[in-house]
Amino acid sequence: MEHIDKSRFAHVGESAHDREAIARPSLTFTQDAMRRLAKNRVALVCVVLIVLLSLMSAFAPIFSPFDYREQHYGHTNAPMFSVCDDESSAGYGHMHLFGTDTLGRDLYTRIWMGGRVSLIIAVTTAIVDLIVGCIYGGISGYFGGTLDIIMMRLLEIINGIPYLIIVILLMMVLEPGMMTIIIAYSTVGWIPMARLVRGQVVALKQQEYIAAAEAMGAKPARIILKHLLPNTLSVVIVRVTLAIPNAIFSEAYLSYIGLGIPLPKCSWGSLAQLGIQNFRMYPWQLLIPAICISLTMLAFNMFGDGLRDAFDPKLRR
Amino acid sequence: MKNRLLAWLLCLAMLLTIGAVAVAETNPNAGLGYYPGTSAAGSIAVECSTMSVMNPIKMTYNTELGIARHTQDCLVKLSPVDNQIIPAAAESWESSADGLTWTFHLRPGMKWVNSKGEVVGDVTAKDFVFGWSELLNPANACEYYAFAAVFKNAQAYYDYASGVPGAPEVKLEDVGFKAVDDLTLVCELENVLPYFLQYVKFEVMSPIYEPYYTEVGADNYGTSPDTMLYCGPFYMTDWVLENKITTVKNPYWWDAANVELDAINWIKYIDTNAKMNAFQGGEVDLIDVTGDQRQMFTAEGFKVSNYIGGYSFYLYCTQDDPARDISNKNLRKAISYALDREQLINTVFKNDSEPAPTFALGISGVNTETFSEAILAANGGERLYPVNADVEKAQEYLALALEELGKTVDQIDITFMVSEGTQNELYNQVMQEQLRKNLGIEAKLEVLTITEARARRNAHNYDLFAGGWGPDYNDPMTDLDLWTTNNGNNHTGYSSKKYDALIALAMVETDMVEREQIFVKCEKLLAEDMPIIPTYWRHEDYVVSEKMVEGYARLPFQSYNLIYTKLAK
Amino acid sequence: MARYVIKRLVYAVLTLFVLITLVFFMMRMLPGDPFLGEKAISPTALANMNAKYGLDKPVFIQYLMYMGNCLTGDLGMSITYNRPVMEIVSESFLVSADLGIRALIFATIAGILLGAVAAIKRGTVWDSLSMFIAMIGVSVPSFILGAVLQYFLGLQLRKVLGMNIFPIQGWGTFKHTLLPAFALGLGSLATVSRLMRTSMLDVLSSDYIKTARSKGLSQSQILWRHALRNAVMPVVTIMGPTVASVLTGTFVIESIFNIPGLGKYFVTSIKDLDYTMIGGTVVFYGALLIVCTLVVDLLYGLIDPRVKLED
Repeated sequence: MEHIDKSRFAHVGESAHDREAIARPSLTFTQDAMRRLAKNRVALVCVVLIVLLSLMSAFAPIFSPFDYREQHYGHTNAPMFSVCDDESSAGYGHMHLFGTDTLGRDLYTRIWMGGRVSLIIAVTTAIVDLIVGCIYGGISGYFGGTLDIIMMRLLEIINGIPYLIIVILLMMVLEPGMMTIIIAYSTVGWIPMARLVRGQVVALKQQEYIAAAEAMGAKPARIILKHLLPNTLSVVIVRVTLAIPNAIFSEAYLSYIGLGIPLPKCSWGSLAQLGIQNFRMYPWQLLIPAICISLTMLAFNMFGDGLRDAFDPKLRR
Repeated sequence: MKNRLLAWLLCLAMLLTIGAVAVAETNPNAGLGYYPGTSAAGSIAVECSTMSVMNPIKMTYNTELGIARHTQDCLVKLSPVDNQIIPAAAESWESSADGLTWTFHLRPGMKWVNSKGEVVGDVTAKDFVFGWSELLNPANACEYYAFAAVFKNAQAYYDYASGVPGAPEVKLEDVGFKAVDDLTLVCELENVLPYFLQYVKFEVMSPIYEPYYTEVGADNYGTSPDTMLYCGPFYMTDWVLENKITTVKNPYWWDAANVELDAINWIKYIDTNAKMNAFQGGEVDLIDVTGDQRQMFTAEGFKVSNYIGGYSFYLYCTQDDPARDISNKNLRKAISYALDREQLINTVFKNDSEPAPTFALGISGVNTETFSEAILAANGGERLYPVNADVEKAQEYLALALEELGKTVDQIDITFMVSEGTQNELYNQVMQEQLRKNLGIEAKLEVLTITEARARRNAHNYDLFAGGWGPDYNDPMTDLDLWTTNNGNNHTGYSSKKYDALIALAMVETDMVEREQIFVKCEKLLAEDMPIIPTYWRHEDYVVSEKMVEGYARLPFQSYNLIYTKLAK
Repeated sequence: MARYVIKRLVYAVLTLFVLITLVFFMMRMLPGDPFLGEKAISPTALANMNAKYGLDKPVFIQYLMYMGNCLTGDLGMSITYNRPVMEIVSESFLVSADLGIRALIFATIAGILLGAVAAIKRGTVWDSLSMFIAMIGVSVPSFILGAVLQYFLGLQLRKVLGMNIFPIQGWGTFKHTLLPAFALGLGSLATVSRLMRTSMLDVLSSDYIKTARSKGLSQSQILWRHALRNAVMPVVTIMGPTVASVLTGTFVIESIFNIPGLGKYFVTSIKDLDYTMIGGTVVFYGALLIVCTLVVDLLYGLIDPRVKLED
């Protein structure tokens, strides 16, 4: 072995200051998660995409030369990029970027009008889903016993009542509009989530860290919120992202039976439904709303994956 | 009476032509090689929308009656060639001088067959008596019992049997239909009915074989192919509820020699894309198509057929609630002038449907081909309702209306009540937009299920509701008596003493020309008071595969008549 | 175990009772009248129709009668179809279940495999493929998927090949089940594969897998004996109600492919206000749902030894 001369090394000594310094900044759980999320490029791209779709929905209809309900009788089912030839319209000479629908309404304007409705519904119902489902499932799973059985039977009952009946009855009481749609979906939308969370909690509550928390005198609310739910997070996030397109289509279903947003307003779901009628002749009428929905879904899904990676305590390093 | 004479003449004419092969429609695409149709030899598959009930006395839907037309034989039926009454189970008939007693002579040798094609019994006059008695039996709760209520004492019997308080006792034997012998049926009517044969041809008036009916039980009869009997050109062998019915040629039918088809499969479609795919893929031979599909077929060079079912469409307007803006007559007129009926048809239906010039459609006139022409003639050739929007006139009426209501345009509150369905929603959205554009009125749309919409329509709890009316028989009365005060189908609350008096006058008027003039006055009064805003007369589009060459018919009162369809060789 | 099952069965009967009661009174609150047709009916005829279906009695009496009949297995006569509800439900359920079982087998097996493979080979092509399929399954609803499959595989493929591989519509042969089962199953497949992937990732990073690995167990032993079994839990949870709803069919798939299943009656009975039919479908679906969740809860105990069935 080659000899290394000791003189090549010098003792630097240690400074008390350096020794006490904290190499990494002190971070709370949330800060740590956000930091990791910010490092995830895919998740960031998805956030940008969602913001972009939201901005377009908010502003594109305002700047469009066409009104979302204005019908051009001479120009129905026009292909993409066709120029409006209706002299009585404010949009005369402008281009129908996405063509027109079966009544000659500008699809570009309608897509973004529809985006307003669909995105708001998607996000709010996802939040309701998350809050109600997690708490209900958490309580039911953690306490177990008779309470669990009763709470789960209640779910079965709500699940057993036909959605259509609930919706029609709601329609008698409420004015048609965005709020009603959210309420209608919220009555049943959270059930799969509650079931899922409960299933996870039932399995998790046997684990040592829960026993430890209990031994330390943690209250049930703390155990559920701080210990159990964070550990179910990965599954919960998947379910939420899957619930988003569900909510969008549920709205389309509602508009089909009259509880949807009042006509002639539209949503991506209702545009897709109208598009499917003639997709063989005018495929873009279906493709454009379908792509919007898929993009939203993809963005939320990838973003969800990023969130999961960032927030899951088990993956924390 | 003129009608009776006409019936006799027709009867005679038909007797002369029996045996000759009648040709109804001819397929415009035959042999062009676009869509060859289903592959099974000798049979065809056709679209049929509703087929929930097959017991003829309990039927209510046009399409169900269409199947009964192929599996049962009434006394008379409509010709697939010219839609006139021709003999069916009855070979001949005559009526008394006062028009109250009718005697039918049945065709000898007709058989009842079951779902296996076995002969069960003979068709006799008793079977008609039994079928009509069951139609009047309150326990069966038949919606169309009224067709049998035209007989003497029939309504009184129905009321008595239903336990209506104060109804005097009437026995079934006293009701005006009797089987004198196996082949002779005598009917007595309560009132003179110019179009009595049109009632008898209605499929709910089919015969029923009593021994079999009592054996399977009234509730079970007609719930499956095996629990009913057939006496028509086809019998039913298979029925998958809400999906498919198979009917097979009945070799024992009296005119079986002229029936070329071996079987008809009736298929129910819900999805319009699915049925077009099925048609193009050769899984069905006849389907109805939407306007957009029509354009697609036309672009390919494939000809789309159409027929007029006799339906007139209009907007019901509530009259009797002064709190609603729509109760203002001038506002309704403004709406009528603001509607562009041509655009409406071109954007939504994209077919040959006509902008309604008058309300009543398709009914024969006395001296003109249609009753509508007589109205136009009396009105100096001018339409009662415009083709295109007349914004100027609309604004004029709107100004009057606003003054009477004491409101500004923004305050006008109108809601279209819409029963769900894509086509219907589009139709209403176009009218909504036209009101916005031509009147500046921001109308709302309210989409409801059909049951709720009907309930609210009947309760007059709506502003505007798009509805339609198909005639029950070939006389303007079937359309125009709707708007009398006490008519159950007058859902507008329109009540005009003048109108009621005109209809009452027409009921007793025997001079046909005079009678028609009364009807013309009714139509003009309607246009003046405007309880309804007529929109369009529907033409229904359908496509036929090249397998069906000729002999089929789609006409008013008989949406399907496929009995004598000839197939491509 | 036996005690648990008996207890659950008692609860099941109670649940069903509450469900029927609720639905009975809710459907009576629905607007409209089942007998209002397009054309007017005389009041006497309307009264006769109401009498025929017992709708002329006070609602509470009707409720008692309905409950009594339910106990004897009689779900009444359908107003729309004039035939026993039991007969319609059982006939159409056979068809829906036939299709549903195929769809479920496809969805669960393919979904679990796809999800598991995606997790094991995280970040590879397999992962992206699984994501892509899940994307289609979730973001393309069945009304689009069904229509597109029918057009391209049913109609266009037939034109191209000149032979009939996928029938466009109808029911009866094995061929007829292919497209609808795929369209019906793809949504569930997506959910299953996504859930499976996440849950598998969780499991793979857990301590007992590390322990197993350090014991020197082979990769396949770890996967089969430890990981898969534990990872499948969330999938099992979600499968309970999914099985119930897939087996009873869906309106959309049935109308696109013209399948005589049960699904459409859930929608049409409510639109037609066919009270007896609404009741029948709810009783049937409710019972099936309850049985499915019971089975799922029992499976919990079998699959995951950590879960104790509490009684």
